[in-house]
Amino acid sequence: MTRWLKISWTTSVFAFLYGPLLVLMVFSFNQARYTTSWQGFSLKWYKSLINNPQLLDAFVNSLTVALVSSLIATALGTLGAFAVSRYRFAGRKLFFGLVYSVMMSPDIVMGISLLMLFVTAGLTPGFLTLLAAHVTFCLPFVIVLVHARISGFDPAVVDAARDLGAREQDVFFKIIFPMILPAVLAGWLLSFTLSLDDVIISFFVTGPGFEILPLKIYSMVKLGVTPEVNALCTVLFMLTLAAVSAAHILTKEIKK
Amino acid sequence: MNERQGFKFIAVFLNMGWFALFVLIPGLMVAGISFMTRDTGRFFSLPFTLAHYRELLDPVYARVLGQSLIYSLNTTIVCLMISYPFAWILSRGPKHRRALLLMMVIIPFWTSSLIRTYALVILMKANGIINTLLIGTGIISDPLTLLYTDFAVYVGLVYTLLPFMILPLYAVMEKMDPRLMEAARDLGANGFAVFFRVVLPLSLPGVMAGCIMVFLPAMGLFYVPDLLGGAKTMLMGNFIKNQFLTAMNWPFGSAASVFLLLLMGAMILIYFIVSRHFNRDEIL
Amino acid sequence: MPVVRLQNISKSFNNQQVIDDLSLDVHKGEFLTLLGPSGCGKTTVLRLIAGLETCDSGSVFIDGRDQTRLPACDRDVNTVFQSYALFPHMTVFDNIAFGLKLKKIPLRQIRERVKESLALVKLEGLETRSIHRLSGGQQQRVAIARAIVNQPLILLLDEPLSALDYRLRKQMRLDLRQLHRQLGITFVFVTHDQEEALTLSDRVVVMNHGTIQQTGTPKDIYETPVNLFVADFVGESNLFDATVIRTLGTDMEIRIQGISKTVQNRRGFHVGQAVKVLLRPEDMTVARIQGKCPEGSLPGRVKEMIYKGTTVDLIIRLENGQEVFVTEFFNEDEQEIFYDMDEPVCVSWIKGWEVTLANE
Repeated sequence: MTRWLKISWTTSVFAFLYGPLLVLMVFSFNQARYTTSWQGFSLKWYKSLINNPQLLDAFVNSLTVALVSSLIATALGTLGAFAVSRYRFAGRKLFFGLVYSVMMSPDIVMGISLLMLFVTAGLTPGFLTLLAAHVTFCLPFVIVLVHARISGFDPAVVDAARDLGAREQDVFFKIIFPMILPAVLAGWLLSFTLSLDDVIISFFVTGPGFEILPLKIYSMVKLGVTPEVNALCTVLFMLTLAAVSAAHILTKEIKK
Repeated sequence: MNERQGFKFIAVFLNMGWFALFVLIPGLMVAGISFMTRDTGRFFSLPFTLAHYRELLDPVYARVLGQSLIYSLNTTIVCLMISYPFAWILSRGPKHRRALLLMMVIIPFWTSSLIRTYALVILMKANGIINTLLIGTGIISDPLTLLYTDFAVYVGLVYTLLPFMILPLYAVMEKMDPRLMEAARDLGANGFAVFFRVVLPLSLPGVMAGCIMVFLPAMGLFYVPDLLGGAKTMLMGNFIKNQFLTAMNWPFGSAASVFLLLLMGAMILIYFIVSRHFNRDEIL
Repeated sequence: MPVVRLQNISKSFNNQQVIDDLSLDVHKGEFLTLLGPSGCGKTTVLRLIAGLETCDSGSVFIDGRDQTRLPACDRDVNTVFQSYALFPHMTVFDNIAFGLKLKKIPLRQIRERVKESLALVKLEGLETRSIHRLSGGQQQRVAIARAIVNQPLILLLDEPLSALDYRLRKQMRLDLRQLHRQLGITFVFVTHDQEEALTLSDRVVVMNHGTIQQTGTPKDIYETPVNLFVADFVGESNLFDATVIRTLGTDMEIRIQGISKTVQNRRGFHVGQAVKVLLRPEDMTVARIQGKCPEGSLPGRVKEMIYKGTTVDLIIRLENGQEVFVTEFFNEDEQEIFYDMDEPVCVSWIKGWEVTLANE
């Protein structure tokens, strides 16, 4: 009896979580315009997606921001994690506090605070402000992931490397970097995903000159749905799926 | 070791600098501007005033606050009710399956919640999937009004935030030593007692973490009521957004944001107290 | 010329003096053990030899040359770490070959030398194994192989056996002795286990609070400790308070628990001096006597008897309340080795078998 209960509870929850998404994906292939009927399998919405310059622009913009911000966040965050685990410096605790507060803060507060910063500083909202904002909310994830990995390994390993003849750069490139690589990659992938999918913070820090995909979808949904949105969402979802799966595999490496 | 010192300096400086510039300063601005006076030209100006905080207590605005709190509270409770058994079942399952099932929870967690909210729109529209199916199979004749209702907003909030409750709960439950429950049984506890006296207290830090991760965002997710709700539904998030983008009332918006931050602070404080009391582990 | 000479080394961490003006010579080819309780500084001494720490003052000479400021990567010294510190992302082969690769030795030679090392530690054929799939004992041997493959002048071992279970540890001790003989290089071994120190070493250095208490062969340390710390730390000991009453040339008469006894006077004690008499459990004698104890023996009652196969341990409660630990060897001829609880006995020892130290 309990077994049946367990199975039905878990299945229901998964059905709830994935159902709407699967429906969305299915209907992106619908020949018909409206979801009232199924008129056969078609790729026409994907085709019109490719032929829609506005959407393509927004897509490219989103990818660019995601790529650049994730790379910056990963580089900066790895350095930060390294510094925090190896060195003691003034304000270390404050640093940790700031890292965790970013992770916990509601997006809306981050969004408006950055808006106020940029406007007061006289900057026009656009690619750079968006980039800065994205790096900011991605950094903590990278730092936490890499720091966890670094803390996990035996400090004697570095001693052993030195004992066997390794110089500072040998230690970093042959020992430390390979060991933290899974965490660095996972951090990068997660940053990429976070950046690609962000709505609330981007809402406040980007300008009309630089359109990004989630906000484009937002306005499209509000104004009236064109079926291309279905196709677009499906594509984004598949990207997220790929990135998260890859990150998950890498995180399993970390557990070793 | 001068090379080492230089490297350390750059690493620390860059990070601290970034956080100072993009986190600390904006944070201080929010706090500071909340005490300023509204100025249509320059967004804010002296003198310092508490007027905006008093305005928050004004019945008109207090209603919005209160309503938002209620939405968040209900959402949190529903998420908890659904997630607790789910996380428990997942954590007690066979080891090899756990990794896969966990990843299946993580995927929606990372998927853009805008996309997921939009998927709900398709389902719940007047000519959406649900209505189409129900009418098509003859269960009802007129389409149900699912969209643009409070119900839709709740579905949207729960749908978006469910993984945020599942994951902390799962994290805590997975670490729970099964031998503790065995020991309780050995000492004479039946199913109920084991749950209420061992499992529940030990899972409390996870419950608290999950509640924080659902309650706070639930107040800020403005696009959910925007897409799924009626004209009257307004969360704190919508309210703050309006103050900044429509009303151009920075100090008032900041005051509301400070309120949100204080709420966050209070919840984190409770979390620390609870976790220290019941369990030495902290998962945040 | 000693292979390592530490001259007046001092080192402190966080304002705590860990090593205090220590000087030590390590002879070529010997198996030297640094023995002491945790916190005594023995690991720090090892790390100073390895070059992983630099001393605040003093000099470190290795093979006659001043290498005080030379970093670890340039010293001809290799370490086996307590936690093994194997590189988790590498196979057994890569771990062992690490040092050789850094020296740019050709691959063919590396392969041969790794094979030799693995054979020496009895782990042939495990080159391609990932280190996660090794048992604790195997990991430890890989750590040793990784160090010795570089043919260092000195091999340093930092409590390498502490994580192993009892049987493995005993086996490894023998293997280490064999390895030492096979390789012929100097071993410097750190442990807090005095049995280990006595079993393995040519010489033992007993340390406490950052200073050397005594240096000597295991026999020296065990039979003639120079102070109470060494006496107490190494082996079991019974300690008696006593006062010198008379000096008689190389002997002296002491008053111990109300009785007089003649013992050897090896350190020139004078009359009236308070001393501590140390006796190892196996050096004490126990006799069943009816009535009063003969001169020079202490009366008591048997409190506990523990049969251990080869020996019988006795805990005897003396009249003044002090408990004495006595070990008697099982003698097949003497049928009556078994004592009853509370049986009255007389405890004594043969003159000269005791160690008398000043009462610090």
